[in-house]
Amino acid sequence: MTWLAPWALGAGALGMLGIVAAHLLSRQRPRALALATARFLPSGMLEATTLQRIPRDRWWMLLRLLIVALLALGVAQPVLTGSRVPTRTVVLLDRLLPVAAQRAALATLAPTDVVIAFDTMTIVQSPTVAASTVVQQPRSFLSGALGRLVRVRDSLANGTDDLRIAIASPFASASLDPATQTVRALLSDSIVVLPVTIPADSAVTRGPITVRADGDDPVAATALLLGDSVAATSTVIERHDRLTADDSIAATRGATVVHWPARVASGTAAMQALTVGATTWIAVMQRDSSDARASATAAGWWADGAPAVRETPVGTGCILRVSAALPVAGDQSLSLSAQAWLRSLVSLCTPMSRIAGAAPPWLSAAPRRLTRLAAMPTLTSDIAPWLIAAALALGLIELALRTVKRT
Amino acid sequence: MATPGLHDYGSLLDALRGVRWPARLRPRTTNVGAHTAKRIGPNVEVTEYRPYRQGDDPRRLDWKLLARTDRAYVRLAPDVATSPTLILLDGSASMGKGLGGETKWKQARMLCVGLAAVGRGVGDPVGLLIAHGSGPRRLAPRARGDVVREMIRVVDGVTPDGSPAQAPLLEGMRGIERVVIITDLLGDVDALLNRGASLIARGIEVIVVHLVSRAELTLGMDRAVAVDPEDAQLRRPLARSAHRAYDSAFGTFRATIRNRWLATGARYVEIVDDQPAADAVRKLVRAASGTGAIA
Repeated sequence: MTWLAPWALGAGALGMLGIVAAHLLSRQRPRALALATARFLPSGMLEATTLQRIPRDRWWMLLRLLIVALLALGVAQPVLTGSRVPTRTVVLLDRLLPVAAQRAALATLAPTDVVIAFDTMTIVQSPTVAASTVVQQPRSFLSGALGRLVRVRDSLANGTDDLRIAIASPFASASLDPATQTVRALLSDSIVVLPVTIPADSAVTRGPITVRADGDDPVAATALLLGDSVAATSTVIERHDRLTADDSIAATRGATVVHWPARVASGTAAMQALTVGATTWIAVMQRDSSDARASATAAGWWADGAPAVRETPVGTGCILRVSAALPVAGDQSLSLSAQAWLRSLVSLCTPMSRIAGAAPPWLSAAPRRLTRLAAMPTLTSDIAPWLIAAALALGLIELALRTVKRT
Repeated sequence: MATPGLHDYGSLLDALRGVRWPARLRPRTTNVGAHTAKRIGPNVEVTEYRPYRQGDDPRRLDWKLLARTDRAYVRLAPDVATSPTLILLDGSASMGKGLGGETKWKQARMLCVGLAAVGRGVGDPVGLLIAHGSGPRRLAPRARGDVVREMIRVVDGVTPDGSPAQAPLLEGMRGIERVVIITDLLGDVDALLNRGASLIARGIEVIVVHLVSRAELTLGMDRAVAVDPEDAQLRRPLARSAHRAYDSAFGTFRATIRNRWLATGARYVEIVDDQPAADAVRKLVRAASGTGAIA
């Protein structure tokens, strides 16, 4: 059995002590005694406060104690919850982490613990289910995970004596937003930051972008203008229609593979704006919808919000698919904006060791001034209304009996 | 309410046998009795002569003196008369209820019967008037032999109750020479005192018996609320700390009321309920024949 409002038990105990004290210290009205010469006594208080060893009106006291006890039990809202675990750990698992790091974080959890796995979505799982669905995602939002935790925190704490909250995350800067700290302040608990092992990318060296294209390719020209040290040497822009097995292997090992089929824009191509990250390239282009993969994550957008670049993590690298056809003629691909845009594109698939940051200092410690939202009760006590009703009924009976006795 | 048994009354009457209750004032009645009357009449014991005046009874002429001196004189001697006595008994609730009430009412009845017996012993008519909450009980003054027994029957049939006024009962009395008021003086004190003064002015002897309970004199109670048996609204805390103030107030009241009654010319006697009844009656009789108050 657990109590949804255990403070009511303490308040009830105080109330019962007060009743006993009142019956011990009640103002006693001494017995009346006929005295013909009473008029010669001085006027004064007809009641006196006396301390007695045995409470007066014990039946009345028992009735009042019963009323207060029932009321306290009703307000405390007892819930029959079956088994109860002494400690429950809730792990906020960032899907941005490599698979191995996620599994390492899940390995220490007990079956009664809870995992809140988050990327761009948040899901509450048991450790077993979470371990079976481990996958690395390119984006994650910590605010959403914290918001979900705020909502389910009370229900998670119901079946345990000690609720511990931990987080396993690389704390990428993109995972944090201005709302994250505000949402964190809604939690009264401290959060333990789990150490995660992120593979180092010390072998990454910078060099020219490898562009696999046939003939005069505008993207190859842009890459050539960018020169060296723009991207890792393992960055490849594949302008053919299909990726090769080598491309996939390279991506699995940490390379950035840009699959941008060299389709030619038709004569109806118009000016388009293509945004990647914070860089927008405005040029005559045409949308290429021949390879739209809904499962991939959008990483670049047209001006109307339609995805133009999709990112698929593969191993420790990623594959970027660009759906834009460029005209054969023209020098727009040589412009500075085109070069900046391509630089942003090949930087999208950043290795984990470089996007990982440190846990913000306000994350771990419990906020000093708690501004909790009203918890959404997930457990309800079926017996509480009956207990309160019984207490009220007994209170009315006590009042009626007292009135009858007085008259 | 404890009723004195016949044994109690018998012991009292035996103890009072031979006690005389002389009238302090000469009675004005014409009935021949044991007290020297106020008026002078043809008695066998001549005290003086007076010249015959028209209207005198010729039988009172001293014929021998007339024969020797040829002067008509009548023989004069003090007359003897009875002293009709009325006993006013306070039958209010304060006389019989509450702390010490039982013994106070018992003492009042013993005094009443004892005085009636003493009065009856010298041939005086004795009457009884009981002030009671349900109405006064009257027993007209009579000198018959069974007046004491009748009085016992009447007083035994009364249970003190209510808060009756006593002063109005003393209005319109005729032929009464002596009034004994047995009361605790907790009722209509001022009215009774004025009425007593009026009676004294009319030449009626007034004896006030202030009956006090020993329990009222020495409060031994604590942690109680004292309620006036005649006024339920009058409630006072009976705490040990209040005893001193009570003793002072009650003592002042008794001294004041005693002085006020004495100032009217009445005889005032304070009787405590634990005093033997025979002794109390003797004390009363002595007070009746003396002057002032008897302690």
